[in-house]
Amino acid sequence: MEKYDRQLRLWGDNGQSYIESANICIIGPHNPLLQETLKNLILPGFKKFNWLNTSDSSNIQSNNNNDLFFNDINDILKLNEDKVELSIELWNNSIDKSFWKNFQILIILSINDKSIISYFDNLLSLPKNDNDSLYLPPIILAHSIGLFGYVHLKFFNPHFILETHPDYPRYDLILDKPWPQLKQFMDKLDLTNLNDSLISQLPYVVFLYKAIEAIPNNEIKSTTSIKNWLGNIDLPINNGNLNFIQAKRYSYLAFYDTESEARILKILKDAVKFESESNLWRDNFNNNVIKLVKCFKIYLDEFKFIPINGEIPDMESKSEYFIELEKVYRAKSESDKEKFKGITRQNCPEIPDDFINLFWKNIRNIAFVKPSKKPIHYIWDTSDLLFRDLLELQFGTENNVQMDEKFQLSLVVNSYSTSSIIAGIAAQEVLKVITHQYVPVDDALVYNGLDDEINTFSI
Amino acid sequence: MAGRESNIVKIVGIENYEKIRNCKCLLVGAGGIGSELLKDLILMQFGEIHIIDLDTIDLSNLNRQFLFRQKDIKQPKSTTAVKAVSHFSNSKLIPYQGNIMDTNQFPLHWFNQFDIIFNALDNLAARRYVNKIAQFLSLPLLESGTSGFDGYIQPIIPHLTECFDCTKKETPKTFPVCTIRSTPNLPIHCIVWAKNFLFNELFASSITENNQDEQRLEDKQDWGTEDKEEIERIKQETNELHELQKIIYSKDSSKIVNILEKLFIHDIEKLLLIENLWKTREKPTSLTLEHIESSKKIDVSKLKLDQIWSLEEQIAKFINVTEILMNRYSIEKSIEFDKDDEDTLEFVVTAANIRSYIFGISMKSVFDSKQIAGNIIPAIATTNAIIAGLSSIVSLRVLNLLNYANVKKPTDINMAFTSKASNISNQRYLSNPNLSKPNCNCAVCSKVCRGVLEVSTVKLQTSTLGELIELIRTTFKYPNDVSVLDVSGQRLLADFDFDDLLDKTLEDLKLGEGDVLLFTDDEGDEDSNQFRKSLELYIAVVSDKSDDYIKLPSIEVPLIEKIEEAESNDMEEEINIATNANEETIILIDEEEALELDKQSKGKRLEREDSSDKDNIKKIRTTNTIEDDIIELD
Ligand SMILES: [Zn+2]
Repeated sequence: MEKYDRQLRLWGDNGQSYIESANICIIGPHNPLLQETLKNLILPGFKKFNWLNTSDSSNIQSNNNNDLFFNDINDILKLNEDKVELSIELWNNSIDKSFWKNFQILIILSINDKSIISYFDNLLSLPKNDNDSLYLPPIILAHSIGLFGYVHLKFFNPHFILETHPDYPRYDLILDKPWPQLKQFMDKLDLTNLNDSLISQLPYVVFLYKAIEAIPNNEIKSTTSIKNWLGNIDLPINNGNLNFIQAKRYSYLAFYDTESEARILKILKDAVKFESESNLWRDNFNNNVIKLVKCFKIYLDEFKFIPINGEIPDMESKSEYFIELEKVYRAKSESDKEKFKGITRQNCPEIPDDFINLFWKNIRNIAFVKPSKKPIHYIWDTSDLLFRDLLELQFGTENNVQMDEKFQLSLVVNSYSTSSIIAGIAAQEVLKVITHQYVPVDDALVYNGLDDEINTFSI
Repeated sequence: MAGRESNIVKIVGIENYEKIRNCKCLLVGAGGIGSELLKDLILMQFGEIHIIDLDTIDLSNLNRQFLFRQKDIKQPKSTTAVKAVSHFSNSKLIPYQGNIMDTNQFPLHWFNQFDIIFNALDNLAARRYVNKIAQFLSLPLLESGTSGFDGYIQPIIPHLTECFDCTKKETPKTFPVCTIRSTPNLPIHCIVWAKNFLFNELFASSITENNQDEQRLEDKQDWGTEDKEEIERIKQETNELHELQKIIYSKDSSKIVNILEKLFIHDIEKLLLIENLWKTREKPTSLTLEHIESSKKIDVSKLKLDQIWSLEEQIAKFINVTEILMNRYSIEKSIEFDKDDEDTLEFVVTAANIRSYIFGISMKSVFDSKQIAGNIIPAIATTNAIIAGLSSIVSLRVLNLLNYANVKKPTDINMAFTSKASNISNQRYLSNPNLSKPNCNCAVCSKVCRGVLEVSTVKLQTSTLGELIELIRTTFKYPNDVSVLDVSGQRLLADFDFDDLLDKTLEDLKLGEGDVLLFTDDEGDEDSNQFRKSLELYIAVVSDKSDDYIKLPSIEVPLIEKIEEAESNDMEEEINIATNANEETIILIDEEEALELDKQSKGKRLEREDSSDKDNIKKIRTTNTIEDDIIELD
């Protein structure tokens, strides 16, 4: 695993195992964008590829090998010393729809034949039928030309992310909703009886708890009232005490986070709604999450509050206090989790324990990308003019291009660096989608190399 | 014309294509971004590309540095990269293995042959160095960096746009000596202790007696504490470490237990005697002989790197790996810490974890500790591809080669930051602010005038310091009262009450190629309250000129308003960072390159960041570990 050390720090063994078992289908002609995308996927460890080549012979002629970096597609496979499989076939419009269930993702690069788009739109318009259901993985469309390019992601089912890796972990201390063990811990620490040394070693959480407890119930309990109480309390520690300062600073952590709650509830509601509307493709991860989401709704109906995940932020403290506090929060999370597992055992006993633990730990970070029911050719209706022009150029209808003439010189040729950038972005999104970590682009972006601009928008 | 050429001709036009063919690029770094940039610049048809890297190839590079294979491990990156691309390159490629900051290998005039510099570096020190060089020579510089899914590019047009140092960079995290040596409270404190202090004392240096020099440096050291008793103890402990080194030297593995007893029992017991330390802190609990005894039953071959081992397992592994290092030391004479050298890593991790146990700090797995000890930044192929692509395309605008996107003023050019888009409500993949004008408070590009002093080999031997000062005074209209500082050697050469050296020749003063002199107006003009701006001169020794040749840069040094006290302090600090490479190491950890992302998320971060670090930590001057810790990263 040493080879993957640097990237394991982004998505862990778990993410890596999804990468190494994924099966990817690429549709497109042999060009720099395809080579670069393949390269960017083989390096981090993807191992199984199908390439449906859309080059026609005349196209191969004009696409002089001189603008490719790798002489032979097999040279790219050798970028990873592990065994990489690539099976190559020519694209044809009569591929059976059952073919697509072999893949976790479908990447469509630089095609110039609209009938490929029509092929998929036809599949999507087939009437729903449980016995003959269509499995279509998420699709990534990309193209680059001149100093411009685009990447578009299309999901046919809700795509869930548990490990979203937010920049700042959000902790909920819910000191305003104490449970017996927390109360017991706090009651042992009596500010009026502890000696100076012990008071100066109290973690800030204790000060916050005491503040909430001391503020009479008929007064509004807010960060302001906590800070006021902390400002007026007579304690033997001077104002320079770090933990005391931190108590004021982190007073916002004291209360149950209703904003997070609203956000999570909305995600859960939307997810279930979108799920019920589609019966197309669903990968195992999404499948498990949607079942757990339904169980979680049952949990919330009964227990009302978004549970804590058992983690508390680092804080200065006598280590004995910190360890005990950590235990109290962990035990609470574990006992809530057991209640949740009681529900999952009844409703979806097949979901592995590890997966439930992952869900529980990340419930506050959960995100999903909504699916789109529109046919793929709706991309031509985009309000982004540059995107539209790029599509016209890609599919050989450049007479429809509306952009400023001065750009056009650069629009009809390949610029390798642009392909590099677009292939980098496309592969980056594949990594996010396959690992179910980090939130992918929702759902399109256009790159403009004239001023390093990337515009992101939803189609 | 073949595809590659005709494409680029269509993009830039035939005239500008010729310019690209005649363009000489310097690419600093052949790692993650460097591999990608080399490919992109070749396909853009740049005429000549010189590529430099200090490092050799490591297994952990292969997940992104696509020009390298398993068989290339331990080979130099620069030459291997050039070999890998030469089959299809129309560009003249010249590789160098070396440190870009090495003035012998890369003197200033060597940089002068280039039209543009691409930075694909992994550390702050080299980035700042190349930035300074670009300022000296007015060369456009394309700065870039990545960390995980995030990355940035910053084009720098000297004197016209912000330089790399115009915005404050997160400087290396520093810790007070006393926190590291006496009162750790975080895992990182113990890792710094084990790596920068213990490991270095035991394996990195040869046995030295405590000489006067060391004594003198110790007297000057900032201990981060006023407690005399504690300072005495730290000094004594250092002396005793020399005793431990003798155990390593003896190759007697039965004595490793003595090392454990000394570090984790006796030293802790002594520490406990300093009662002042434990008034507001929890006391450490020293190891016991029983711990050491019971560790002997453990089979270390079964331990897994991603798990947190028990105390006994840590001790067993410590003994095991110390024995290995002891044997290596007798052959290698000196061992450097290297995060990819498993023995050194495991020594540091086990020593740190045993210390953590003693101080009630949580222990870490080898995998997690490696990230801290090795300053590991996550890295993937995709981000490097995006950033290198952006960097190569923006170079066309920096060189003003796109006629249909004419750059009217440098601040029309953009920089760019990618973000991982982890926050779904924040739908920005790339921010692209226009370049700013230089920050007038920047010590690198604005507060000081810069230029090159060319001098022939003979003139160096004949010209005295006094003559040089006179020449500079008259040329740039400085008053009588100037001070002259040798920035590289960090010594005062002359000021109003120090004229002992004026009759010495430049050679007597050991001044030569690559040395930097700083002239400061100490007098000013009383009436107008104005001062002549300070002048930094880089000495370039030229061999192909007449014996009498000496040439000052053709620049103007303006008068400026008197500098406020606070500002001039700033400047001193800057100089310290750049120059005091010869001082004894004061403990500090490696820089965190997360700084790159600061620019975009600073506001948010400051608000949430735990203030404890900032409030508690007294800044210690950074020292030579910056240079020592140049490690391979993107
Ligand atoms: Zn500057």
